Amino acid sequence: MNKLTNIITLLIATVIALVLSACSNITASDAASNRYAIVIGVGVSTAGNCAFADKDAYKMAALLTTKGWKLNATGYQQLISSTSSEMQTVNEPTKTNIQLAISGFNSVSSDATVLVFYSGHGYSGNGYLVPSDASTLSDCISPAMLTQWMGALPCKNKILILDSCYSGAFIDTGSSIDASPQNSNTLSGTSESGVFTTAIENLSSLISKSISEYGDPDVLTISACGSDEESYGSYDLEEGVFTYYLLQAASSGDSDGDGYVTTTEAYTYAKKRIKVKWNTSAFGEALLPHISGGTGDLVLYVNN
Amino acid sequence: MRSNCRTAKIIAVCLLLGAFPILSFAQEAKATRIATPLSFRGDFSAAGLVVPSENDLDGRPLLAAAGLSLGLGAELRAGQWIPIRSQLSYYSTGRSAVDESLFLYRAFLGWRWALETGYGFKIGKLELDLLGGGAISASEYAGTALVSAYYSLVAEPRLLIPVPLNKMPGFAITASLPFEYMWRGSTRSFATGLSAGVSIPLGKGAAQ
Repeated sequence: MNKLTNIITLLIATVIALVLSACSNITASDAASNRYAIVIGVGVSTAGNCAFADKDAYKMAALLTTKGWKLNATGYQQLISSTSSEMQTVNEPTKTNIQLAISGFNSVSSDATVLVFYSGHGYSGNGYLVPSDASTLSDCISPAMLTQWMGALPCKNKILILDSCYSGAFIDTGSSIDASPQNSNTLSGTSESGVFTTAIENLSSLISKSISEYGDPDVLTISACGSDEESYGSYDLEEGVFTYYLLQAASSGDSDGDGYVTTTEAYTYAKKRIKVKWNTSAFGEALLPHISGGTGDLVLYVNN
Repeated sequence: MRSNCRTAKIIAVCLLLGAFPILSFAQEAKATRIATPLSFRGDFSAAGLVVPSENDLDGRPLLAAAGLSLGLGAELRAGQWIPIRSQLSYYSTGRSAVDESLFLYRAFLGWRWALETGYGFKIGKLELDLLGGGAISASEYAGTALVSAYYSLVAEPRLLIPVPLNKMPGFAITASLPFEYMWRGSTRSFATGLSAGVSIPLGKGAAQ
């Protein structure tokens, strides 16, 4: 009996040690210093102006700077076109300039993080991003194109945030299935497909994806809306609806109170607020943000 | 390659855990040639877990998370042998620790169905069961509508501590160390911890 007691005690001690090691975490002051952001706001374009895109970009740039993101490493990280007398155009967000801005980080270290934020038009039906000099579809930026530009970066950590119409087309769900519809107008009330039901209905394909060692998507992406719906700006909020709540998530989105607002936490916060505050009174302008799949997540805001 | 070697080792350990009770039962049956009584037991348990995850394919580090699970099980017993045990569990794993580049693994939660086999060893009034098998899980990433499914290997040494109750003969408290190795796409997760619960005989004449 003594031997058994000793064995059980040793096993329990081992498990406790594992638990304690699991609790280890870096402090907010140890946060990575090599985090770079590119903020794009196409308020003015050949294809037509986009209300609030410039303001979205300026506000996001200001917030990211306070949260430790570097926006002045290359001098080419804010690309904003604006007609406002209060906001100037900075580095015209043409297709070429956007590509140059991203490729400007081709020599960062593998543990760096590059974030790209875009607010502007998304081309009807396919979500292509519309730069300021775009007049035809071939002038726009497709998901494949943007994936290629960001995929060429040597860093493992990449975040893409899109506040534009049909931006769900940029979402890669990896080995998961998205139970949210691509058009929230198909929702009954505010509830999405039962998660458990979706899992059971697609069990064999989900298992085969799991077996095939499906890697996580290369870029962690959050979009303002599905691939079959538009995103909106609000004259009351004076911003894009999605960006407004994403900015608010910096102070209110830390669901576990650990000082970090992860990209998934920020997405969850923005989605909940949109469903409750915007969609319930949107009168046909409902939207539902989406997020890419994969087991990994990245911290978006560090709150010291 | 490294991932395949690790996987092979895990499979080998689980086969060993599963083979030992089968060999022991065969030996005992051959020695005694006594008809083995069949019985059923049901159980409920709760576990606190530590769940480290790693993604070699994407170059992601080993980071640990905390989790918990609640399970409802039923098993067929043939003497000391447990030919089959089925358990349905609800589990929730929190987000992992954060690495230096501010990367972490997402929180996930869902349902798991496990099928195991095993053998029990009498230690005085106690019984030590060695269980091993496989499981399928359906999960979602917390805060999202992203649904995944994956398979895993499970193993569990479990102690049955009989508690004499007049109204419920055969009632026992269980204490166990659950182990689970999960294939979640290119990410591998390993769960272990401490579990406690109750076990009761089901059906007539099942007290043992």
